Amino acid sequence: MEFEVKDKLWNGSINIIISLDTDDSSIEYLLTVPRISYLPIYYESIAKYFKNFLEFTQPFWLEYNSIPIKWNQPVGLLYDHLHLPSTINSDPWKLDFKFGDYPDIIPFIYRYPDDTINYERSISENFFNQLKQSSFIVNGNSKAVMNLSKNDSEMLWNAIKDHDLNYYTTIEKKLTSTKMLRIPVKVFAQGKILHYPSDIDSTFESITKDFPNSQFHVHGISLNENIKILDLWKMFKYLDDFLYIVVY
Amino acid sequence: MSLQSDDDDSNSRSSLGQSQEMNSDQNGDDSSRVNSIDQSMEQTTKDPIININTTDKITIRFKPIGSTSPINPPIFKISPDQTISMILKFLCKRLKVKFIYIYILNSFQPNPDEILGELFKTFQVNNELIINYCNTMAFG
Repeated sequence: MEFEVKDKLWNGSINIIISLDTDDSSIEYLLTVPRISYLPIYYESIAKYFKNFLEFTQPFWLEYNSIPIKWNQPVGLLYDHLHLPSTINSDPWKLDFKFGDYPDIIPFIYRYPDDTINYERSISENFFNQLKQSSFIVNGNSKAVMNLSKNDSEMLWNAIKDHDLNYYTTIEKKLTSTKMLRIPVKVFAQGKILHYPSDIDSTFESITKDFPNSQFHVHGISLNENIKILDLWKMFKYLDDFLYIVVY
Repeated sequence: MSLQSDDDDSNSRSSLGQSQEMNSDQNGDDSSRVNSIDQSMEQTTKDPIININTTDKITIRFKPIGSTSPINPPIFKISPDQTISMILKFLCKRLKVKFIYIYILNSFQPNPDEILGELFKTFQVNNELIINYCNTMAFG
């Protein structure tokens, strides 16, 4: 059962259409992205494709219903808190390709030697900082992540980029804590990211009680039962080791 | 880098910031003497959530890493609704730099949209949120 769920979560994916409006037509780029993955991994291919049709400035960004996508969040989480609550029930998920005045989302600061933007480095740095944050909540420090060898860090990121569960599991084992202090949980409610560092024996109710008359989603799945947060975390945590709960 | 390095300078920390700390522990009367980022930031941020009751504010402590300039005094009271983005803007303005790296507890870089009150809830030490800052990347 546990393996089955892990496998489903690893392979769960979202179909996305990215469209670029030009003067006379709309050009579409189609992709299937694992829920646990990150959009900037695909930014270079997206840019390469659209360059065939239009000259644009970089960095570009993606929008959903005129809301710029926070590229640092896992795709499944973005989908769950942006698209799931909306009444438009469309599959695939439709995003717009935008360029020009960069919106108030995290800037891309890493560049290649030729000064072009390194989208992948930006997301991998961001990912490791999130991982350090969750590790701090679990262990009281981030040593487990900081002490990963350069090789292991690269292997971990490549496993995420290439969607390779075997490699991922190998490195994940090195990060697993034998004695957890707290469980790293973040709640997305009303456009805000709330921290719920939870005790090991706490139950889902310790979070739901703060949001009366709301629905709770983990990986797109509606949850109502009062289960232990630790069990939820083990099963449903994202790759940065946070359990994300979407409330609406 | 870990909390160990933090312990090393804990002595200098308490002597340096003692008067501020005492201030920040008292609510109300003495609050005018406590730094308020909110006020100094009024020109640069358009965030409407700026003036809230001082008693509801959280304490943050800035600590430079390496040769980066210190901010004196290092303790500020700030509205818990503010985000890391505002801290980045404040530090860049105050230190007159274009870019600054910040870390929580010498450990991880928080994202700009993280809410300070939420970070405080999770990572506070002795009722302070410790924000390390550096003009180069400190921890890879």
